[in-house]
Amino acid sequence: MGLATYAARRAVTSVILFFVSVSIAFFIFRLLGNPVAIMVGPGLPPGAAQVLTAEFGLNKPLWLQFVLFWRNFFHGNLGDSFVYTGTPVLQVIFPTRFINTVVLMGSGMLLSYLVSIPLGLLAGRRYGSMLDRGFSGLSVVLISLPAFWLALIILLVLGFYLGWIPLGGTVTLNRTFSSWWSYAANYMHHLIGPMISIAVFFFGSNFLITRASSANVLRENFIRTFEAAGVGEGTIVFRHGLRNAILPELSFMAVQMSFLVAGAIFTESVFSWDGMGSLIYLAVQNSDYPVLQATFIFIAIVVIASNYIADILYGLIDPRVRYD
Amino acid sequence: MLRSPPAVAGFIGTLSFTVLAIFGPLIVGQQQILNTYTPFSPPSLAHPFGTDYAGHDILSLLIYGTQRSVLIGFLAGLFTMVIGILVGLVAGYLGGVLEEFLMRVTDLFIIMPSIVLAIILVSLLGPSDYNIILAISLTSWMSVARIIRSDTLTLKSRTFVEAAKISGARTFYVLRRHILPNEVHMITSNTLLAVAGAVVIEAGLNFLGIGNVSQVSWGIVLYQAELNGAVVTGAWWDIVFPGLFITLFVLSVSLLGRGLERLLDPRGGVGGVRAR
Repeated sequence: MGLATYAARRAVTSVILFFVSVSIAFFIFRLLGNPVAIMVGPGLPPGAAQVLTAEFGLNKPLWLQFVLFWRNFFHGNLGDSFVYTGTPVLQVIFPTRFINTVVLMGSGMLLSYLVSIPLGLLAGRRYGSMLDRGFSGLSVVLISLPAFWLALIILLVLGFYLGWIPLGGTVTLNRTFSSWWSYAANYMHHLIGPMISIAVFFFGSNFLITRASSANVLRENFIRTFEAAGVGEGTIVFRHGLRNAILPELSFMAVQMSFLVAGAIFTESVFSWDGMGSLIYLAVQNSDYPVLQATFIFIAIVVIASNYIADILYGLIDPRVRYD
Repeated sequence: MLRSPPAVAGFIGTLSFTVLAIFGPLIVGQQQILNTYTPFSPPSLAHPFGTDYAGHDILSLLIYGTQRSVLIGFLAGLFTMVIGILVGLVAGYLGGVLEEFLMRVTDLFIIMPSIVLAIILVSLLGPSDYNIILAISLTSWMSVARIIRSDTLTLKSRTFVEAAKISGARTFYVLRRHILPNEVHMITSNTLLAVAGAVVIEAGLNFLGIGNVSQVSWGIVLYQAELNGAVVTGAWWDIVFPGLFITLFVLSVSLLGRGLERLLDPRGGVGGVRAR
């Protein structure tokens, strides 16, 4: 079986996973709460409640509701937000909040990789050295920290005491920007705090994963051959170590994604970053169930897609993988 | 284990938190957490950890709240293990269609964003401690199930298990007598890791304000601090100390877990210690 067949088969299972997770979202929200109250929202006059009940088909049997839910789903209709009244939930998520989250997570993870991978490679190469023991100990402490506490401490130190970063938000509110540049600069200034929080939050696990694979690979015979042939230390660590360290990162994708979602919710809530994580927080505070359901479905899609991509990439990068 | 300083530190830490969890409300008492003093006063001799937005003594709140945080974490960790061990044992030992089904369900739960699922479950079911325990256990059993399944798979093909089966031992007897005793080391360490993880999730759920906020726990103290502007007033003690309690607990329990795993491993752990 070649890569193409494998990719096709994984695509089929991914689509099945997608249908099952979205259906689970449907059943959780219909069965665990009062569906009329959940979909129609509080504080509406009885007439409006009846209209909306009919629109969502909540007076129909469950199986028919399920069919209607999927029909609405494929029409891009996931209901309207309670809080931003009348706004379809998809417009609450896209495009601003989605882009903000992607920017924050992307830059935070990139920063984390830039620091943790070189350090992890070196620590694995010098297994048991002071550098290795120091950063390993630090990583064990860092992965024990709750994400929201880390974010609070960073906000307190960099924001309150040093005054280097704003205390919250994505851009300064009620301020008109003279140019695109000043807007971008203001946005970047707000990005620093949450970005550092995400980077520190992921440092521990990234460092430990890289260190473990580096320690294993860099003690194999082909590395000793390179050493004997006079290949430089830098080439050994960063070329051959790095190649093999990327693989476990990819296979930890599913676990990393769930950390990423948690990191987004807590970090964005602390820094009032206008992304999808703080949207979940706001939706919970306001019992905005349509938004909560849509965000859950959206995150499930992103996670399934990124796992699929990670699996295919694994096969492309590692020539040893055989599909049988 | 005595030769491993991190494991010893973990043991001492876990023991201290257990004592605090059992006797905390007796040491501090209901009245002491209701008393109010000057709001947001920094650490002093009278209030070693300072006071919060309403003037409660933070040290008292944290000692009193230890019981609730640790109990929720312990029960959630325990249920996580029960679900994980059942799924792992049944899938690994019985195999077949059942295994295929259980492992697909496990994959599904791994892929679903568990923290979002937990948040949704608690906000739909209502903000009680029982629902928090339920939500945590239902969303964190997957790694245990995978570990137990793969270990059961290797144990199943070992000669002593084969011998027991050939001599007519029932499935339940083999599981109880031959499989589970060989997994005690990973069950112990994973229970401790599950408890540590559950305490962090519980603190997180309470920090977001979706738990029962009228009670005292470590996460609730942080929730109140954030809600009432501890950051913008620079009341660092209202943020640092509650988080330190959570971090020290998680660190102690995980270090003890790692230490015990090596000590109890029947296939020979560090320091030549062998069980039985």
